[in-house]
Formats: sequence, C-alpha cells, structure tokens
Amino acid sequence: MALGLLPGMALKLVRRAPLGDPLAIEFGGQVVSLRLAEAESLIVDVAADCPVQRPKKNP
Amino acid sequence: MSAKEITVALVGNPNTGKSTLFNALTGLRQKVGNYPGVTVARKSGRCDCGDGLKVELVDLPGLYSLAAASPDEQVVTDVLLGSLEASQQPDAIVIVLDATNILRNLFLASQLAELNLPLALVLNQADIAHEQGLKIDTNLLSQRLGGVPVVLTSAWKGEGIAAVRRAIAEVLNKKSKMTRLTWPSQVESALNTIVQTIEKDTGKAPSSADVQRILFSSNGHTSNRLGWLSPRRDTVIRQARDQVRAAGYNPLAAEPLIHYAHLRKVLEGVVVGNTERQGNAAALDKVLLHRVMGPILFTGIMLGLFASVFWLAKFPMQWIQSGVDYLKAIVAPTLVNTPMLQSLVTDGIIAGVGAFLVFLPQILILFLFVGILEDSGYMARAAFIMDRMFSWCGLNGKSFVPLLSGYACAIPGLLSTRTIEDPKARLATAFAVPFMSCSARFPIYALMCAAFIGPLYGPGWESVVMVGMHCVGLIFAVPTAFVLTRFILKVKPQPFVLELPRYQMPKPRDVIWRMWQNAAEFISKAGTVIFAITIIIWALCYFPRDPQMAEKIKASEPTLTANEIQARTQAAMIEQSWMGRFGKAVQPVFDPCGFDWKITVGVLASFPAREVIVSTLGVTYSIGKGAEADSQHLRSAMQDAKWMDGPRKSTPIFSLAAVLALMVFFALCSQCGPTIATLAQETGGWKWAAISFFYMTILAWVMAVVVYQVVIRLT
Repeated sequence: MALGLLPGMALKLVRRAPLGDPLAIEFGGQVVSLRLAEAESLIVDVAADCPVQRPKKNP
Repeated sequence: MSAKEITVALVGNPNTGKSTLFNALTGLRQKVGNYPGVTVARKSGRCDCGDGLKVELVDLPGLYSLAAASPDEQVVTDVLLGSLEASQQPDAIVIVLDATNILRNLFLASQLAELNLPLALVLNQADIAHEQGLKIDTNLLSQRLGGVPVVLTSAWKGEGIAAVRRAIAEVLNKKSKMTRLTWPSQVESALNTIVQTIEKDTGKAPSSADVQRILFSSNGHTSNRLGWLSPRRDTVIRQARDQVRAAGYNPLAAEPLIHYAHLRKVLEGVVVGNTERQGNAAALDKVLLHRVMGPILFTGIMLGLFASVFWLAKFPMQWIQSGVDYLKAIVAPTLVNTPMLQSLVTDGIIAGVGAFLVFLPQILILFLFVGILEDSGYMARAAFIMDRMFSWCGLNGKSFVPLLSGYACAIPGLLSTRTIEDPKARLATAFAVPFMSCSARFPIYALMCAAFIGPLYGPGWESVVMVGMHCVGLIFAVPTAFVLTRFILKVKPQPFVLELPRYQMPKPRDVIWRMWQNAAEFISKAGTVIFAITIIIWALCYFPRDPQMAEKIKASEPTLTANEIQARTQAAMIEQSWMGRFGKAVQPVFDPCGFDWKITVGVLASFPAREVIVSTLGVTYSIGKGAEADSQHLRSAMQDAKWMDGPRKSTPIFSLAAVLALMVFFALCSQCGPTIATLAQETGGWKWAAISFFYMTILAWVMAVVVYQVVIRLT
C-alpha cells in the first residue's frame, strides 16, 4: 500500500513471469511485481473495457 | 569548527537517482562506515552549500515508507528519529522524489513531515518528466506544503545541483517545515489516547511520528524502543485501532489511505500532463520479460557475466600471481640468514596476502557488472523472472543476486542479502550462499581434473566434472533452504513486492564508485582475517623444527641431489610439525573418505581458507613451495602416490573414488574464516554461523564418504 495501490484504483495486469508467478501490475504510472499469493488478496472487478480492471477493496 | 557539525539526511524512494545526486553533491569526498550494531552501511560526505556553509550529508538507504520491514528501512527510521546511538538526529532532511511519479514519492515525504524537522524536496529526473510531457509547478507545490523549498533537478545530467545546495542552505536558515496533514477526528483521538497512555506509563510524551508507528505498523519495534512495555499496551493499541475502524478505515491501511487522499488534493494543478505513462519500460519489457525470450536472454546475460568475470579476471590474476612470486624471489635472499623470518615473510605473509589478492580482480569485475545491471533497471527484472524458481523453497527473486555473487566469493554474496526485506528469506539466503562454488574452490577442482580426470578419461569428462562440481553446492543448498524455512524458521512468509523501475543508462562514475566501495569493504573484512589466519597456519606447519633434518636425510640416502634433499626436508618438516602430527592423529576420521594423512593435513589447513589446499598438497607431496594447479611436478607426484601400509597398501591414493570424494568434500565444506565471520555479522550472532559451519562440514564429510564408498565399489 505504501506504493500507492489503493481501493478504487485502476490497475492493469501487464504480464506474468515466465513461470506464471509473480505478476507485473501497472498502476499509478509504475509497474510493480506481486506474487499470486499477494495478488489474491486484491478484490478486482473486470471493467467493461477489459483488459483494464478495477479493484473494489484492498484489505 | 563549531562543536556540533550540521548534518543533513538524504532520503527517498528507491530508483529516484538519490545516490547519483549524493555523489554529485559531495563530489566523492565520502566516508563509508557501518551504523553501530547493525550491518547497514553508513555513507556520508561533505557538501559545500555556499557562503562557507559546509554540511555533513548522510545518504540513507532508499525506502518507500517509514513502516520498516528490512534492516535498511529500520536504520532510516532510527536515524531520522535520532534514536540510534552515536548518531545525532539530522538538522534537516532533503527528500529526493521521482519527478515522474510525485504522488507516490510524496507519501514518504508526508510521513517524514510528521517528524517535524526542517525539510526540502528535490524533484529529480526532471528531464524524464519533461520528456514525458509533464509540467510541474514547483512554486505552487512549495506553497501548498507550507513554504518548504522545492527544486527540480536531473542529477544524471548534472543539472540543478547548485539549486539543491541553495535549498539546503535555505532550509537550514529558515527551518521551513512541511505542512502536516489533518487526521480525521477519530484517528486523531485514537492517536491522542496512545500519547496520553504512554506519557502516564513512561513519564515522557512520545513524538507524533512514534505514535503513528505504534498505531499503524504491526511490528512492536517503536513501543519497545520507547520502553513502553506496560501490560495494558496491547489493550490500549487494540482499542485505538477499534476507534480507527469505527471511522471506516482498516487500521493497517488507514495511514496510506489518509496520506494519499491528502496528497491528491495537494497535487491538484501542480502536475499537468499524463502521469500514467510508463516511458521506455514497456517496449523493452516486451522482449526482456517475454515468457520465452525473457528466460533465454536472462540465461544468456548471466552466462555472459559469469564467463567474462572469469575470463577478464584471468589476466590481472596472472599478473598478481607473478608479482607475488617476483616479490618472494626478491625478498627471500635478503633474509637468508634468518630462515625462520624468511619463511614467515615469504611463505606466511607474502603468500597469504597474495592468495587473497588474487581473488580481487574477480570481485571487482563482479561488482562492476552487478552495479551495471542494478543501475540499468535489469536486476529487478531478473528477480521478477527468477522469483518462482526460488519462492517454493522460501527464498525469493532477490536471493538471486547473493547466490550469483556467491559463485565468485561468498562474502559479497552475504553482504548483498541486506536488500532482502523478508527476514526469513534473508537468513535462508545467507545460509545458502556459502554453498555456492566460489572461486577459491576452483584451484582444487582444476588440480584434480588436470591430474586425474583428464589423463584417465579425456578432456570431455574433465569439463563434465568441472561443471558438475559447480552444481553440487546448489543442489544441496536449495533443499537446505527449503527445510530451513519450512520446518525450522516458523515465521509467516512476507509478501514479495518489487518495483520494476524504468530502464536507464548506468552512470559510469556511480557504478565505479560503488564497485570500489564494495571492494574496500571486502578487503577490510576478508583481508584482515585471512592475513591473521595465514600466519597461524604457517606457524602450525613450521614448528617444531629439527635443524638437523637435512643432514639426516643426506646421511640416510647419500645419492640424492641437493634439490631432492631440500624437497624431502620440507616434506619431513611438515610431517613432524604440529599440523603434520595433528593430521596423522585425525586421519582415521577421514579414512572412510579415502584421504591419507597428507590430504588430511591439507584439509585441516584449509579450514580458515580453502584455497590453501593446493599449496599444502604441494608441500606435503614434497615438490617444493608455491605449487600451482598446473604444476607438472605436483601432478606426477600425486599420480605416483601410493598407500604405504594398511589394507590398501600399494594401491594409488588418488583413485577415482578418492579424487571425486575430495572434490565433493571441498564443494560442500565450510572452509572459509571470513565467510563465517561475515555470516555471524549479517545474521546478528554466532548462532547461525556455528550452525552453518557444522552443518556444511558434517554434510561434506558424509557426502565424501558416500562418494568414496560407492565409487570404490563400482570401479
């Protein structure tokens, strides 16, 4: 969260690592690597204009 | 000079170009040391701010938030709060921000504002922000933040450095402080409750920054530091967090949420342009992080790096080796009248320091490449690609750099574990690093392959064995890390979050400067220990001495030439020295590995520094001193060596089984004094260093026995 991944923010799955984990996620003008285990705790809504997705809440 | 030096701390997120700015401001007039009691490097330098104002600028490790996770981040918090012994609280803070991502970078600034210290903001990488079409109104930002100086710079291009100097002078002069945010009323009252309770319990009101750490961070570090250990502590914190929850915030998420909401308002109209753009990263990542191309390029880059470390270092290593031999040849005749001093200087001091210096070129080149990869932004990608390979055994993508460095030398590998936030992964990585086949293991592999594997099975098998030996350590390190993190260190796994920064051309001055600083740390750490140990080993192999030894040998075998007598004498001397007697006494332990007493002496003498084995074998197999791995004499002496007695009488000592067992033993055994010392320092005590030593040594012995007993039955 210190990196600014906050509830209601648009985020984009840029790519997956070669073995499927971790994920590279873009938000707020930066790309951050998250493991699946951490990414699971994000609750994400798939936006109408997929591939852009929106999380509702970030625990 | 005044009694108290003015210190200014340089703080900022990682990847903001902070170190480049620091180098530009101090012009390499820097001091590097360690913070007392912790392993984080303390970098400081003198910065001239005009009008005779000179300040001590302290470069702190990069961090995203004050909620400390790694030891590096902990030090920043402690330095800024003035809570670290022997380090006064800075007079002002200069915060370096990435001008292309001001919002995220301001979060740390906003947390730092709570420290109530004078501060200035430096928006670095302004050139890239400009290229991306961002327009930043620094006057408006300064005004919104209560008049703190805000300057735009591009440290990489050397632009705006003078403005930073002026800003430091201004902030010290005006003591301008950044506007602090207004907490929602329930959060404010939760904070007040904690302040009042601590004041009652300890008699001292805590600073607001401390209280926020207690309320918002889940670790108990701050309250322990304040000495707030009262039994009602947990209840009070829980009630305060309930209050925050009642205001509609998750207590552990409230801090960033409130800060970011505040900062969004601050930034309204300050930054004009599309902040969502990623610059050059997307296009390059398409190739470098491609699911197929990514790993191929990664492997290529690493193999290239590896090969060039060894290849480029070969030449300076040869020069150092011949320099050392030359020095010995010059010095030895001058001391010929005092044989003991001659031996101490040539075999002890010069040989010992030389054996250590020989590895310096490899280490410098390794640091150079690692620095280039880090500064260019590729290292984060490497960690991203490798993370899955490491995560199953409790390590993470950042373990990759320490393990790779371990292939040159364990010490820089251990030092680079500091970047790993997760304490469990950090310890497991530090434990795995000494298993990597460092370059000090290379001479024994080279000797064994050249003397036995090559002649008997051909050069093809020689390289197979060579590559195999470099994998043995890794094969054992990974399951060890798995067992360690899964069953022994029962700590909750930490999230692995890693920023993938934009790509950038590394700045030669920064890379070379950091290479030199790392090398200096390596020299001071390893050099002193190796030096002391070499002299001890020398003494054990030298004393006691029988001055009539040469005469006795001459009398018993009158046909020997002078050179042969000298060689026999040396061998006999070592046989009856403390080390030789000890080796003979301990030999039964190594008998199941197929080691005779001479190899045993070599193994024992190698515990402080494993590369000693080749020269010890050279002495015990009596072919004179300074034996090199390619020395024809040593090879043939070893090929001819036979068991003198026992059930294996007159069979060769160096059978295939014994050769493989010896190499496996050296691959796994913990034979490096400086590594043990560094491991103790990095893990905060001798416990893990001792565990590592015994674990590796016992494992090495067991595996050597297994290899010997299996192979001897097959051949």
